[in-house]
Amino acid sequence: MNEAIIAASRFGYGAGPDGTHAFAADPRGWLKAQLAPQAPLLPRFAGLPGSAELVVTLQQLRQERRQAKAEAEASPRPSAAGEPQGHQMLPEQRVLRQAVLQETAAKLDAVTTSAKPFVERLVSFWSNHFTVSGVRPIVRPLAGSFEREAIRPHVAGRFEDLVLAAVQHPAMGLYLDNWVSVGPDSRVGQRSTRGLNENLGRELLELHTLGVDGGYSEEDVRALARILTGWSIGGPRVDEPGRFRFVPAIHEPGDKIFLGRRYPEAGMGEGLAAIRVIANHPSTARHVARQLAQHFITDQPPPAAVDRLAQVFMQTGGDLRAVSLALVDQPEAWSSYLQKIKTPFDFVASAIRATGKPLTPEQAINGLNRLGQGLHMAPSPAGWPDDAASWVGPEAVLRRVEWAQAYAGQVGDDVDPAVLTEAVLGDTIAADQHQAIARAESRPIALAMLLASPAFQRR
Amino acid sequence: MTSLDTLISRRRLIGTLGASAGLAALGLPRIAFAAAPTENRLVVVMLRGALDGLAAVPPYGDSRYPERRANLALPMPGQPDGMLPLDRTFALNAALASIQPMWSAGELLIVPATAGGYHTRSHFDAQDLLEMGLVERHGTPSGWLNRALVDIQGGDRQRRLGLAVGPAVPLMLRGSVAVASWEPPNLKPADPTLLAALAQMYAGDKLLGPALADGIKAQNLSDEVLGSGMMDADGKPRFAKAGGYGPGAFKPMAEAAGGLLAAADGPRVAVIDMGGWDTHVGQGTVKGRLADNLRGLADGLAQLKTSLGPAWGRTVVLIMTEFGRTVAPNGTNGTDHGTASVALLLGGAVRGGRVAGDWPGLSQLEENRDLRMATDLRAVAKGVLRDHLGVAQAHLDTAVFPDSAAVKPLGGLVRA
Repeated sequence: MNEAIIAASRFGYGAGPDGTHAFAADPRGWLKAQLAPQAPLLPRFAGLPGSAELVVTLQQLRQERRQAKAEAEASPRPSAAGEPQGHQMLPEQRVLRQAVLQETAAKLDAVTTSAKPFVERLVSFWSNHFTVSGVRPIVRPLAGSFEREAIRPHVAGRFEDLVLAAVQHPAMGLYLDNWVSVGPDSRVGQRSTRGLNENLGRELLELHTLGVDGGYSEEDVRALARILTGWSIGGPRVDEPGRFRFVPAIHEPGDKIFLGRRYPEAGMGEGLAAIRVIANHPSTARHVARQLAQHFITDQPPPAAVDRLAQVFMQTGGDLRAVSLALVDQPEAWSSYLQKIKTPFDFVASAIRATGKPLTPEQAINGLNRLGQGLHMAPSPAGWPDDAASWVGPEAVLRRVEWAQAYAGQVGDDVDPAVLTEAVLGDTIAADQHQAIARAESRPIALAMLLASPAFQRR
Repeated sequence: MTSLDTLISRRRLIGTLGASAGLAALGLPRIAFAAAPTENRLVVVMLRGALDGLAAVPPYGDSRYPERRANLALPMPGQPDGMLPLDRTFALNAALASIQPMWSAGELLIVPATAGGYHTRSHFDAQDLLEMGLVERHGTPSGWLNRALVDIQGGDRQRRLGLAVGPAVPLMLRGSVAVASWEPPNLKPADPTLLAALAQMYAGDKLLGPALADGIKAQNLSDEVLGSGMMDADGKPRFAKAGGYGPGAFKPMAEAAGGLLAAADGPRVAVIDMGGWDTHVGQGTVKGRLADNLRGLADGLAQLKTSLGPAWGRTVVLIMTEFGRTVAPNGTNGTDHGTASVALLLGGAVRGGRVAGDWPGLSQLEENRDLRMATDLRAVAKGVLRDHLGVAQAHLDTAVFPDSAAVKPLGGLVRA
């Protein structure tokens, strides 16, 4: 099959209306060249509010609500005279909603127009690996900044740095509750009822690094939770409000035993040391290699490919650029084309990329919600599933057809379906199907058929 | 009309008979195909994220309860927002008020201190194992309920007595037996011309082909059964806000499940998911996320009863979760992953108004932190499958729950 189509669709978000001739001569070289060691932040991300700013806004909003509640309680009004104030959006709420729309627009623009689509797919992959989900409302406005600030700069860097950036981002602190985890014997812990929360410690081991069978115990989960006490977020009255902040007053004092190693009391240094150990652990190399292979090769990835990727991970000290380059070199990544089903996000992104006709952020958000994969709304810290069984239900397939129909109805009048099919799918679609598209009764129906076709639903 | 005929004959070709609209169009007597092997219904509600059983069904009569639960202890019966007493040991969380009448009517059975036979505090592992009916992961993943359907459907793998309610088919229902699925519609239905063209295109695709055919079939079924009730007065889909997460997502799914299960030739076994139970922080005692979720659950269950109509009398609803939560509050007024939780059985076919299984008490805890398991969830499921749906015990011990002969079915859960 056409390697350029495979490179575009499997490693990126598919070809655009101009097809693949720009990189058809050397598709593998094209992919590898995208992994420059340090990619500068793209202009499309300039001017977006930072997480610190948003956290401060969230804090203000909380303050306002408290005040309003206190005032309402101080001078209760008869409910009959209730004014429609409740429906008015506070300025802070507007800022947060705006942030979600802006981040969605920037993300969609990146995946649908970037000249480095492999990098964009890696960003999405790692963002899902370190899921922070807007299913918890307080995280919703921060999820975009999390991906941009903690994930994006590190996808071709060291895994250790990626873990640290993810763990220290306020969105993760809020999502997995670590910002309020208090060492029982810490200064604050001793004079309050607040205490330890295991959530981050557990997911960091189970999901982000070692993997569930990676060789740790319940005691290790608790030890890591104790080590990470104090990893919190700066409140409104500190120098740098809304940023990661180590708070010694809630850090559990004393030695900790974690994964068989003693961590003498060292404040924030304990967490830094522990993260270095788990980020470079052989179990982590295997866990990460398996997930990458599952994402880029097949749902049940060939063990040999997993071994090779894990080896590169260990040999390079978790250099994700080297691991990603190795991914391009796996023969199975090229021989198993069309065995992965696109997720709804992949589907929507590749449809927009194929036609070059964008949606508004609101339309995209609605569409993804209806397809069951709201942007940054994964149901749990495990992120979205990465296998066909989770995405190909009878209803799910119908929803995709319906979305393809709706999108094609909106943009299909000015595309040439036969030409677009050739550009985007080349010889990866069967000749009779190509012909059926060319002969469809209308341009929108033809485009809907192209987008819903098995060759377009897979990668 | 050509395209619709194409679809119908395609459906026939791939052996998915049972869609009432299709049968009517083919001019075949419906009853010949519609006779279900059982009139009894089972609804499994899977609470994902680990329900705090001690908050849902507090053991207020256990002398250790107030001290063990500390600031998460609920107000005693009779106090403002107090729990609703069931017997001298157990009460319902006040947020579950909508199902309290079922207790008095003998339609609600409590099985306290339930857990799967596995030992993991990972949500994802535990949910998988619970749904696969295993204590250790092995073999190709398939669900215990799907394997039970093998027996219930008498070897007919295309009858589709199983129904997944929600956007995906839960692992519990995945396997060799074909099942139907239903999700709240919220996009414009696909044009028949487009569907006919795609049915051709998908014919050679082993994954997408059957899925599309099933989707079309399910749509026909739900259109007929739910009828015009799908649209509100403005012509907008009634369930547009359904699906997804949050306490409000459950009720519309329960309503639809009830409607579909009530149909004479409809499915008999349904699974509904409800998420949002992982309450690590500020779960609250009376108000908060957990109370809202419990209220959403109870309201949905009351709706399910209404929607099932007379079929409620032949229904068992089994509510379960992957594991329980710590007995003591954690440092952030929530609870962490624990061992045993609670299972509820509701329905007109349930021998309810009582507590089944043992209560291990709060004096001695598992690993000094969790409620100990008294009843294996497999025993509960086996009891229901054997006594309500007539699944042979040999099949239960070996195929539905492999290597589980030692886990005896819990008897007497349903009315004789």
